[in-house]
Amino acid sequence: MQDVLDNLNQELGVRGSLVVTEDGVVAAASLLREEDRDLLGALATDISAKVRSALREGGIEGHKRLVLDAEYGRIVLYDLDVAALVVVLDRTINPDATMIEIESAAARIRRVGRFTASANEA
Amino acid sequence: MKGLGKDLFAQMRRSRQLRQTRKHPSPTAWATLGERHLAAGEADHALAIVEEGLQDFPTNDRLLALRQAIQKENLRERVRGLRQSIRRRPDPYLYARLADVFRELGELNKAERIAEECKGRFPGDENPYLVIGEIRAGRFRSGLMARDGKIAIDNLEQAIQINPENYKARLQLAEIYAALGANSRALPHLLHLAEETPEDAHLRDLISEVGARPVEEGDVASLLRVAERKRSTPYDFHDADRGVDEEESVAPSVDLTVLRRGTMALFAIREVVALYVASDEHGVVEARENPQASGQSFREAAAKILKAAKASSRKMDMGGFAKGFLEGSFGRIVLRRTHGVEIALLLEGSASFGAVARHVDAFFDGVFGQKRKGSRAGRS
Repeated sequence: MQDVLDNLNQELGVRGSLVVTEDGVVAAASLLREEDRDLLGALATDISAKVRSALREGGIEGHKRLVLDAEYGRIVLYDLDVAALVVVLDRTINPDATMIEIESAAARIRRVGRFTASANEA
Repeated sequence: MKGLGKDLFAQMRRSRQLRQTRKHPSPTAWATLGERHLAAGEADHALAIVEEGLQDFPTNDRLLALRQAIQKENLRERVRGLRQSIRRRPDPYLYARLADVFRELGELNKAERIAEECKGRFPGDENPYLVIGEIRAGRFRSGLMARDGKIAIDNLEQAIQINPENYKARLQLAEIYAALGANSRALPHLLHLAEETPEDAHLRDLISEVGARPVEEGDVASLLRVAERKRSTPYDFHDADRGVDEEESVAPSVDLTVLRRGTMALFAIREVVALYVASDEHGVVEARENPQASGQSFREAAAKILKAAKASSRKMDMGGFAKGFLEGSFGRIVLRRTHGVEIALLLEGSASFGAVARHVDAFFDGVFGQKRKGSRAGRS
Protein backbone atom coordinates (compact mmCIF):
# COMPACT_ATOMS: atom_id res chain seq x y z
CA MET A 1 0.00 0.00 0.00
CA GLN A 2 2.88 2.31 0.83
CA ASP A 3 4.30 1.77 -2.66
CA VAL A 4 1.00 2.76 -4.22
CA LEU A 5 0.98 6.02 -2.24
CA ASP A 6 4.66 6.71 -2.97
CA ASN A 7 4.00 6.21 -6.68
CA LEU A 8 0.93 8.41 -6.56
CA ASN A 9 3.01 11.16 -4.98
CA GLN A 10 5.24 11.17 -8.06
CA GLU A 11 2.31 12.45 -10.13
CA LEU A 12 2.24 16.11 -11.10
CA GLY A 13 0.64 18.26 -8.43
CA VAL A 14 0.28 15.54 -5.78
CA ARG A 15 1.67 16.83 -2.47
CA GLY A 16 0.82 13.89 -0.28
CA SER A 17 -1.55 11.01 0.25
CA LEU A 18 -2.77 8.71 2.97
CA VAL A 19 -5.22 5.93 3.62
CA VAL A 20 -7.38 6.31 6.68
CA THR A 21 -9.93 3.84 8.03
CA GLU A 22 -13.41 5.02 8.94
CA ASP A 23 -12.50 5.00 12.63
CA GLY A 24 -9.64 7.41 12.00
CA VAL A 25 -6.65 5.06 11.96
CA VAL A 26 -4.02 6.01 9.37
CA ALA A 27 -3.21 2.73 7.58
CA ALA A 28 -0.48 4.22 5.37
CA ALA A 29 0.78 7.68 4.55
CA SER A 30 3.17 9.38 2.22
CA LEU A 31 3.37 13.03 3.22
CA LEU A 32 5.97 15.75 2.97
CA ARG A 33 5.49 16.56 6.62
CA GLU A 34 5.09 13.43 8.68
CA GLU A 35 3.63 15.50 11.53
CA ASP A 36 0.52 16.17 9.38
CA ARG A 37 -0.32 12.45 9.34
CA ASP A 38 -2.62 12.16 12.35
CA LEU A 39 -4.25 15.57 11.94
CA LEU A 40 -5.06 14.98 8.27
CA GLY A 41 -6.28 11.48 9.03
CA ALA A 42 -8.60 12.70 11.77
CA LEU A 43 -9.96 15.60 9.71
CA ALA A 44 -10.49 13.44 6.63
CA THR A 45 -12.39 10.87 8.70
CA ASP A 46 -14.46 13.63 10.23
CA ILE A 47 -15.52 15.21 6.95
CA SER A 48 -16.14 11.83 5.30
CA ALA A 49 -18.45 10.82 8.15
CA LYS A 50 -20.27 14.16 8.11
CA VAL A 51 -20.78 14.12 4.34
CA ARG A 52 -21.96 10.50 4.38
CA SER A 53 -24.38 11.20 7.22
CA ALA A 54 -25.71 14.38 5.55
CA LEU A 55 -26.27 12.53 2.29
CA ARG A 56 -27.99 9.65 4.04
CA GLU A 57 -30.34 12.06 5.79
CA GLY A 58 -31.10 13.61 2.43
CA GLY A 59 -31.92 10.19 1.03
CA ILE A 60 -28.78 10.16 -1.13
CA GLU A 61 -26.57 7.08 -0.96
CA GLY A 62 -23.38 5.88 -2.57
CA HIS A 63 -20.92 8.77 -2.59
CA LYS A 64 -17.53 7.85 -3.99
CA ARG A 65 -15.48 10.96 -4.34
CA LEU A 66 -15.28 14.37 -2.74
CA VAL A 67 -13.03 17.16 -4.03
CA LEU A 68 -12.56 20.18 -1.77
CA ASP A 69 -11.00 23.28 -3.17
CA ALA A 70 -9.95 26.07 -0.82
CA GLU A 71 -7.93 29.25 -1.19
CA TYR A 72 -4.58 27.60 -0.49
CA GLY A 73 -5.08 23.91 -1.05
CA ARG A 74 -7.11 21.13 -2.55
CA ILE A 75 -7.89 17.66 -1.26
CA VAL A 76 -9.56 14.63 -2.77
CA LEU A 77 -11.26 12.01 -0.62
CA TYR A 78 -11.88 8.76 -2.42
CA ASP A 79 -14.22 6.37 -0.68
CA LEU A 80 -12.90 2.82 -0.20
CA ASP A 81 -16.01 1.56 1.67
CA VAL A 82 -14.47 1.13 5.13
CA ALA A 83 -11.56 3.48 4.51
CA ALA A 84 -10.73 6.52 2.41
CA LEU A 85 -7.85 7.53 0.19
CA VAL A 86 -6.96 11.14 0.95
CA VAL A 87 -4.87 13.02 -1.61
CA VAL A 88 -3.50 16.51 -1.04
CA LEU A 89 -3.14 18.35 -4.35
CA ASP A 90 -1.43 21.51 -5.41
CA ARG A 91 -3.99 24.30 -5.83
CA THR A 92 -2.58 25.33 -9.20
CA ILE A 93 -2.97 22.08 -11.14
CA ASN A 94 -5.97 20.84 -13.08
CA PRO A 95 -7.37 18.03 -10.88
CA ASP A 96 -8.97 16.24 -13.85
CA ALA A 97 -5.54 15.32 -15.15
CA THR A 98 -4.60 13.68 -11.84
CA MET A 99 -7.97 12.07 -11.12
CA ILE A 100 -7.31 9.04 -13.32
CA GLU A 101 -4.14 8.35 -11.34
CA ILE A 102 -6.03 8.75 -8.08
CA GLU A 103 -8.74 6.35 -9.23
CA SER A 104 -6.14 3.87 -10.35
CA ALA A 105 -4.36 4.14 -6.97
CA ALA A 106 -7.69 3.65 -5.19
CA ALA A 107 -8.32 0.48 -7.19
CA ARG A 108 -4.86 -0.86 -6.34
CA ILE A 109 -5.32 -0.04 -2.65
CA ARG A 110 -8.65 -1.88 -2.64
CA ARG A 111 -6.89 -4.94 -4.03
CA VAL A 112 -3.89 -4.71 -1.70
CA GLY A 113 -5.70 -3.64 1.43
CA ARG A 114 -8.94 -5.51 0.77
CA PHE A 115 -10.83 -2.46 1.95
CA THR A 116 -14.32 -3.77 1.37
CA ALA A 117 -17.19 -4.08 3.75
CA SER A 118 -17.35 -7.85 3.29
CA ALA A 119 -13.65 -8.28 4.04
CA ASN A 120 -14.05 -6.19 7.15
CA GLU A 121 -16.96 -8.30 8.35
CA ALA A 122 -15.00 -11.48 7.65
CA MET B 1 29.72 15.20 -34.38
CA LYS B 2 26.46 14.14 -35.94
CA GLY B 3 24.54 15.70 -32.99
CA LEU B 4 26.55 18.91 -33.30
CA GLY B 5 25.65 19.15 -36.98
CA LYS B 6 21.99 18.59 -36.16
CA ASP B 7 22.09 21.38 -33.53
CA LEU B 8 23.74 23.68 -36.01
CA PHE B 9 21.05 23.01 -38.62
CA ALA B 10 18.31 23.58 -36.05
CA GLN B 11 19.90 26.89 -35.06
CA MET B 12 20.17 27.95 -38.68
CA ARG B 13 16.54 27.02 -39.22
CA ARG B 14 15.45 29.10 -36.21
CA SER B 15 17.53 32.06 -37.44
CA ARG B 16 15.80 31.83 -40.80
CA GLN B 17 12.41 31.67 -39.07
CA LEU B 18 13.32 34.75 -37.03
CA ARG B 19 14.10 36.70 -40.19
CA GLN B 20 10.80 35.58 -41.74
CA THR B 21 8.86 36.48 -38.58
CA ARG B 22 10.37 39.97 -38.54
CA LYS B 23 9.44 40.33 -42.18
CA HIS B 24 5.85 39.04 -41.74
CA PRO B 25 5.05 39.48 -38.03
CA SER B 26 2.00 37.86 -36.45
CA PRO B 27 1.29 36.75 -32.87
CA THR B 28 1.25 33.09 -33.95
CA ALA B 29 4.60 33.38 -35.74
CA TRP B 30 6.27 35.01 -32.72
CA ALA B 31 4.74 32.55 -30.27
CA THR B 32 5.64 29.51 -32.39
CA LEU B 33 9.24 30.68 -32.68
CA GLY B 34 9.42 31.38 -28.95
CA GLU B 35 8.04 27.93 -28.19
CA ARG B 36 10.63 26.31 -30.46
CA HIS B 37 13.46 28.06 -28.64
CA LEU B 38 11.96 27.07 -25.31
CA ALA B 39 11.66 23.45 -26.41
CA ALA B 40 15.32 23.57 -27.46
CA GLY B 41 16.22 24.61 -23.90
CA GLU B 42 17.04 28.18 -24.89
CA ALA B 43 14.82 29.93 -22.35
CA ASP B 44 16.68 33.27 -22.48
CA HIS B 45 16.49 33.34 -26.26
CA ALA B 46 12.79 32.38 -26.14
CA LEU B 47 12.11 35.25 -23.73
CA ALA B 48 13.91 37.72 -26.02
CA ILE B 49 11.79 36.51 -28.97
CA VAL B 50 8.53 36.81 -27.01
CA GLU B 51 9.47 40.31 -25.79
CA GLU B 52 10.12 41.33 -29.38
CA GLY B 53 6.75 39.88 -30.38
CA LEU B 54 5.04 41.75 -27.56
CA GLN B 55 6.42 45.02 -28.91
CA ASP B 56 4.31 44.39 -32.04
CA PHE B 57 1.34 42.77 -30.24
CA PRO B 58 1.44 43.97 -26.62
CA THR B 59 -1.96 42.56 -25.61
CA ASN B 60 -1.81 39.20 -27.32
CA ASP B 61 -2.90 36.50 -24.85
CA ARG B 62 -0.76 33.73 -26.29
CA LEU B 63 2.42 35.80 -26.17
CA LEU B 64 1.65 37.05 -22.66
CA ALA B 65 1.00 33.50 -21.45
CA LEU B 66 4.21 32.29 -23.08
CA ARG B 67 6.22 35.06 -21.41
CA GLN B 68 4.76 34.06 -18.06
CA ALA B 69 5.57 30.38 -18.71
CA ILE B 70 9.18 31.22 -19.64
CA GLN B 71 9.59 33.44 -16.58
CA LYS B 72 8.27 30.61 -14.43
CA GLU B 73 10.67 28.18 -16.08
CA ASN B 74 13.54 30.56 -15.33
CA LEU B 75 12.44 30.76 -11.70
CA ARG B 76 12.27 26.97 -11.52
CA GLU B 77 15.80 26.86 -12.83
CA ARG B 78 16.79 29.20 -10.01
CA VAL B 79 15.01 26.90 -7.55
CA ARG B 80 17.09 23.96 -8.75
CA GLY B 81 20.30 25.97 -8.42
CA LEU B 82 19.47 27.23 -4.94
CA ARG B 83 18.47 23.77 -3.74
CA GLN B 84 21.80 22.41 -4.92
CA SER B 85 23.66 25.23 -3.15
CA ILE B 86 21.71 24.59 0.07
CA ARG B 87 22.52 20.89 -0.11
CA ARG B 88 26.21 21.69 -0.53
CA ARG B 89 26.36 24.41 2.13
CA PRO B 90 23.20 25.34 4.05
CA ASP B 91 22.93 29.05 4.68
CA PRO B 92 20.03 31.22 5.95
CA TYR B 93 20.59 33.70 3.11
CA LEU B 94 20.14 30.94 0.49
CA TYR B 95 17.01 29.72 2.27
CA ALA B 96 15.60 33.26 2.22
CA ARG B 97 16.30 33.56 -1.51
CA LEU B 98 14.70 30.19 -2.21
CA ALA B 99 11.61 31.15 -0.22
CA ASP B 100 11.42 34.41 -2.19
CA VAL B 101 11.55 32.54 -5.51
CA PHE B 102 8.67 30.31 -4.41
CA ARG B 103 6.74 33.42 -3.44
CA GLU B 104 7.38 34.87 -6.90
CA LEU B 105 6.06 31.63 -8.35
CA GLY B 106 2.96 32.01 -6.18
CA GLU B 107 3.76 28.75 -4.36
CA LEU B 108 3.31 30.08 -0.86
CA ASN B 109 3.03 26.69 0.82
CA LYS B 110 6.45 25.71 -0.52
CA ALA B 111 7.92 29.07 0.53
CA GLU B 112 6.60 28.49 4.01
CA ARG B 113 7.95 24.95 4.13
CA ILE B 114 11.40 26.22 3.12
CA ALA B 115 11.22 28.85 5.86
CA GLU B 116 10.21 26.17 8.39
CA GLU B 117 13.20 24.09 7.32
CA CYS B 118 15.44 27.13 7.78
CA LYS B 119 13.96 27.76 11.24
CA GLY B 120 14.89 24.20 12.20
CA ARG B 121 18.47 24.65 11.05
CA PHE B 122 19.03 28.28 11.98
CA PRO B 123 16.66 29.14 14.84
CA GLY B 124 18.62 32.31 15.63
CA ASP B 125 17.97 33.87 12.19
CA GLU B 126 15.01 36.23 11.96
CA ASN B 127 14.36 35.88 8.21
CA PRO B 128 12.39 32.62 8.15
CA TYR B 129 10.08 34.04 10.83
CA LEU B 130 9.61 37.15 8.70
CA VAL B 131 8.87 35.07 5.58
CA ILE B 132 6.21 33.02 7.38
CA GLY B 133 4.88 36.12 9.12
CA GLU B 134 4.49 37.98 5.82
CA ILE B 135 2.84 35.06 4.05
CA ARG B 136 0.38 34.48 6.87
CA ALA B 137 -0.30 38.19 7.28
CA GLY B 138 -1.26 38.30 3.58
CA ARG B 139 -3.47 35.27 4.00
CA PHE B 140 -5.07 36.77 7.08
CA ARG B 141 -5.91 39.98 5.25
CA SER B 142 -7.58 38.17 2.37
CA GLY B 143 -9.19 35.28 4.24
CA LEU B 144 -9.47 36.55 7.83
CA MET B 145 -8.83 33.09 9.24
CA ALA B 146 -7.90 33.28 12.92
CA ARG B 147 -5.27 30.59 12.49
CA ASP B 148 -3.48 32.61 9.79
CA GLY B 149 -3.54 35.68 12.02
CA LYS B 150 -2.12 33.79 14.96
CA ILE B 151 0.70 32.23 12.94
CA ALA B 152 1.51 35.65 11.44
CA ILE B 153 1.62 37.33 14.85
CA ASP B 154 3.68 34.56 16.49
CA ASN B 155 6.28 34.61 13.73
CA LEU B 156 6.51 38.39 13.46
CA GLU B 157 6.86 38.67 17.25
CA GLN B 158 9.65 36.09 17.09
CA ALA B 159 11.41 37.95 14.26
CA ILE B 160 11.37 41.14 16.36
CA GLN B 161 12.58 39.31 19.43
CA ILE B 162 15.59 38.09 17.45
CA ASN B 163 16.18 41.47 15.82
CA PRO B 164 14.34 44.42 17.46
CA GLU B 165 15.42 46.63 14.55
CA ASN B 166 13.61 44.57 11.91
CA TYR B 167 11.43 47.37 10.53
CA LYS B 168 9.40 45.20 8.15
CA ALA B 169 8.40 42.69 10.81
CA ARG B 170 7.49 45.40 13.32
CA LEU B 171 5.41 47.38 10.82
CA GLN B 172 3.45 44.33 9.69
CA LEU B 173 2.84 43.31 13.28
CA ALA B 174 1.69 46.80 14.26
CA GLU B 175 -0.69 46.88 11.29
CA ILE B 176 -2.28 43.56 12.18
CA TYR B 177 -2.72 44.65 15.81
CA ALA B 178 -4.13 48.01 14.70
CA ALA B 179 -6.63 46.39 12.30
CA LEU B 180 -7.73 43.96 15.00
CA GLY B 181 -8.21 46.82 17.43
CA ALA B 182 -5.47 45.47 19.73
CA ASN B 183 -4.53 49.12 20.28
CA SER B 184 -2.43 48.71 23.42
CA ARG B 185 -0.27 46.20 21.54
CA ALA B 186 -0.03 48.18 18.29
CA LEU B 187 0.98 51.50 19.86
CA PRO B 188 4.40 50.54 21.37
CA HIS B 189 5.46 49.08 18.02
CA LEU B 190 4.31 52.17 16.15
CA LEU B 191 6.16 54.47 18.54
CA HIS B 192 9.31 52.37 18.18
CA LEU B 193 9.03 52.66 14.39
CA ALA B 194 8.46 56.43 14.62
CA GLU B 195 11.75 56.83 16.48
CA GLU B 196 13.50 55.31 13.46
CA THR B 197 11.53 57.19 10.80
CA PRO B 198 10.14 60.41 12.34
CA GLU B 199 9.35 61.83 8.87
CA ASP B 200 6.98 59.01 7.91
CA ALA B 201 3.57 60.69 7.51
CA HIS B 202 1.70 57.37 7.18
CA LEU B 203 3.14 56.26 10.50
CA ARG B 204 2.26 59.55 12.21
CA ASP B 205 -1.36 59.24 11.02
CA LEU B 206 -1.55 55.69 12.30
CA ILE B 207 -0.11 56.67 15.70
CA SER B 208 -2.63 59.48 16.20
CA GLU B 209 -5.50 57.23 15.10
CA VAL B 210 -4.55 54.23 17.24
CA GLY B 211 -3.65 56.48 20.19
CA ALA B 212 -7.17 57.94 20.16
CA ARG B 213 -8.86 54.55 20.27
CA PRO B 214 -9.97 52.80 23.47
CA VAL B 215 -7.91 50.02 25.01
CA GLU B 216 -9.14 46.70 23.66
CA GLU B 217 -11.18 44.20 25.59
CA GLY B 218 -10.06 40.58 25.40
CA ASP B 219 -6.85 38.98 24.28
CA VAL B 220 -5.50 38.72 20.73
CA ALA B 221 -6.85 35.19 20.26
CA SER B 222 -10.40 36.33 20.97
CA LEU B 223 -10.00 39.37 18.66
CA LEU B 224 -8.84 37.02 15.90
CA ARG B 225 -11.81 34.73 16.47
CA VAL B 226 -14.21 37.68 16.29
CA ALA B 227 -12.62 38.84 13.01
CA GLU B 228 -13.00 35.35 11.55
CA ARG B 229 -16.62 35.07 12.68
CA LYS B 230 -17.61 38.53 11.45
CA ARG B 231 -15.45 38.21 8.35
CA SER B 232 -14.09 41.69 8.90
CA THR B 233 -11.66 43.48 11.17
CA PRO B 234 -12.91 46.39 13.32
CA TYR B 235 -10.45 48.75 11.61
CA ASP B 236 -9.06 48.83 8.07
CA PHE B 237 -5.55 47.69 7.29
CA HIS B 238 -3.50 50.81 6.82
CA ASP B 239 -0.60 49.91 4.58
CA ALA B 240 -0.39 51.68 1.26
CA ASP B 241 0.59 48.78 -0.98
CA ARG B 242 -2.37 46.51 -0.52
CA GLY B 243 -3.47 44.35 -3.43
CA VAL B 244 -6.93 43.93 -4.90
CA ASP B 245 -7.69 40.92 -2.73
CA GLU B 246 -7.04 42.82 0.46
CA GLU B 247 -9.15 45.73 -0.72
CA GLU B 248 -12.02 43.29 -0.88
CA SER B 249 -11.42 41.71 2.52
CA VAL B 250 -14.88 42.82 3.58
CA ALA B 251 -17.44 40.86 1.60
CA PRO B 252 -19.62 43.01 -0.66
CA SER B 253 -23.26 43.35 0.24
CA VAL B 254 -25.55 41.22 -1.91
CA ASP B 255 -28.87 42.40 -3.33
CA LEU B 256 -31.48 39.77 -2.40
CA THR B 257 -33.54 40.41 -5.54
CA VAL B 258 -30.50 39.83 -7.75
CA LEU B 259 -29.65 36.73 -5.74
CA ARG B 260 -33.18 35.31 -6.16
CA ARG B 261 -33.18 36.08 -9.89
CA GLY B 262 -29.85 34.28 -10.28
CA THR B 263 -31.18 31.35 -8.27
CA MET B 264 -34.17 30.99 -10.60
CA ALA B 265 -31.81 30.95 -13.57
CA LEU B 266 -29.77 28.19 -11.93
CA PHE B 267 -32.83 26.09 -11.24
CA ALA B 268 -33.88 26.44 -14.87
CA ILE B 269 -30.76 24.54 -15.97
CA ARG B 270 -31.90 21.21 -17.36
CA GLU B 271 -29.27 19.16 -15.53
CA VAL B 272 -30.09 20.59 -12.08
CA VAL B 273 -32.30 18.25 -10.05
CA ALA B 274 -32.12 20.07 -6.71
CA LEU B 275 -30.64 23.34 -5.54
CA TYR B 276 -29.68 25.11 -2.33
CA VAL B 277 -28.59 28.76 -2.18
CA ALA B 278 -27.70 30.65 0.99
CA SER B 279 -25.73 33.72 1.98
CA ASP B 280 -24.12 34.84 5.21
CA GLU B 281 -26.12 38.04 4.93
CA HIS B 282 -29.58 36.66 4.09
CA GLY B 283 -29.56 33.04 5.33
CA VAL B 284 -31.19 30.38 3.14
CA VAL B 285 -32.33 32.08 -0.06
CA GLU B 286 -33.79 29.09 -1.88
CA ALA B 287 -33.97 25.31 -1.62
CA ARG B 288 -35.77 23.43 -4.35
CA GLU B 289 -36.03 19.92 -5.52
CA ASN B 290 -37.60 18.33 -8.58
CA PRO B 291 -40.29 17.22 -9.13
CA GLN B 292 -42.18 17.98 -5.90
CA ALA B 293 -40.32 21.25 -5.25
CA SER B 294 -40.29 20.56 -1.51
CA GLY B 295 -36.54 20.90 -1.26
CA GLN B 296 -36.47 19.80 2.35
CA SER B 297 -34.23 16.74 2.13
CA PHE B 298 -31.59 18.26 -0.15
CA ARG B 299 -31.70 21.52 1.79
CA GLU B 300 -30.61 19.79 5.01
CA ALA B 301 -27.98 17.69 3.29
CA ALA B 302 -26.52 20.61 1.32
CA ALA B 303 -26.35 22.86 4.37
CA LYS B 304 -24.54 20.19 6.38
CA ILE B 305 -22.11 19.32 3.59
CA LEU B 306 -21.23 22.99 3.04
CA LYS B 307 -20.74 23.46 6.77
CA ALA B 308 -18.44 20.42 6.94
CA ALA B 309 -16.49 21.61 3.88
CA LYS B 310 -15.95 25.08 5.39
CA ALA B 311 -14.86 23.67 8.74
CA SER B 312 -12.49 21.15 7.13
CA SER B 313 -10.83 23.71 4.88
CA ARG B 314 -10.19 25.90 7.89
CA LYS B 315 -8.95 23.10 10.13
CA MET B 316 -6.74 21.67 7.39
CA ASP B 317 -5.12 25.11 7.10
CA MET B 318 -6.16 25.49 3.46
CA GLY B 319 -7.84 28.88 3.85
CA GLY B 320 -11.47 29.60 3.01
CA PHE B 321 -13.52 26.94 1.23
CA ALA B 322 -14.10 27.90 -2.40
CA LYS B 323 -15.62 24.97 -4.23
CA GLY B 324 -16.17 21.26 -4.13
CA PHE B 325 -17.51 18.32 -6.08
CA LEU B 326 -19.20 15.25 -4.77
CA GLU B 327 -19.68 12.21 -6.95
CA GLY B 328 -21.33 8.86 -6.55
CA SER B 329 -23.94 6.47 -7.84
CA PHE B 330 -26.59 9.13 -7.12
CA GLY B 331 -25.05 11.59 -9.58
CA ARG B 332 -23.03 14.69 -8.81
CA ILE B 333 -23.21 17.62 -6.42
CA VAL B 334 -21.52 20.92 -7.23
CA LEU B 335 -20.59 23.18 -4.29
CA ARG B 336 -19.41 26.77 -4.55
CA ARG B 337 -18.82 29.56 -2.07
CA THR B 338 -17.77 33.11 -2.97
CA HIS B 339 -17.94 36.25 -0.82
CA GLY B 340 -20.29 34.62 1.67
CA VAL B 341 -22.74 33.29 -0.93
CA GLU B 342 -22.90 29.52 -1.21
CA ILE B 343 -24.66 27.15 -3.55
CA ALA B 344 -25.13 23.40 -3.85
CA LEU B 345 -26.52 21.87 -7.02
CA LEU B 346 -27.56 18.24 -7.34
CA LEU B 347 -27.15 17.20 -10.97
CA GLU B 348 -28.97 14.42 -12.76
CA GLY B 349 -27.08 11.15 -13.00
CA SER B 350 -25.43 11.53 -16.38
CA ALA B 351 -24.70 15.29 -16.24
CA SER B 352 -21.08 16.41 -16.08
CA PHE B 353 -19.69 19.24 -13.94
CA GLY B 354 -18.70 21.02 -17.14
CA ALA B 355 -22.36 21.19 -18.19
CA VAL B 356 -23.17 23.63 -15.39
CA ALA B 357 -19.80 25.33 -14.80
CA ARG B 358 -20.49 28.34 -17.02
CA HIS B 359 -23.97 28.78 -15.52
CA VAL B 360 -22.46 28.81 -12.04
CA ASP B 361 -19.85 31.37 -13.13
CA ALA B 362 -22.62 33.46 -14.69
CA PHE B 363 -24.60 33.24 -11.43
CA PHE B 364 -21.72 34.66 -9.37
CA ASP B 365 -20.90 37.26 -12.02
CA GLY B 366 -24.53 38.35 -11.92
CA VAL B 367 -24.64 38.47 -8.13
CA PHE B 368 -21.37 40.35 -7.65
CA GLY B 369 -21.09 42.10 -11.01
CA GLN B 370 -17.74 43.75 -11.59
CA LYS B 371 -16.74 43.48 -7.94
CA ARG B 372 -15.75 39.88 -8.50
CA LYS B 373 -13.60 40.51 -11.57
CA GLY B 374 -9.93 40.03 -10.86
CA SER B 375 -10.51 38.85 -7.33
CA ARG B 376 -9.92 35.35 -6.07
CA ALA B 377 -13.11 33.40 -6.46
CA GLY B 378 -12.23 31.51 -3.34
CA ARG B 379 -12.68 34.40 -0.91
CA SER B 380 -15.02 32.93 1.61
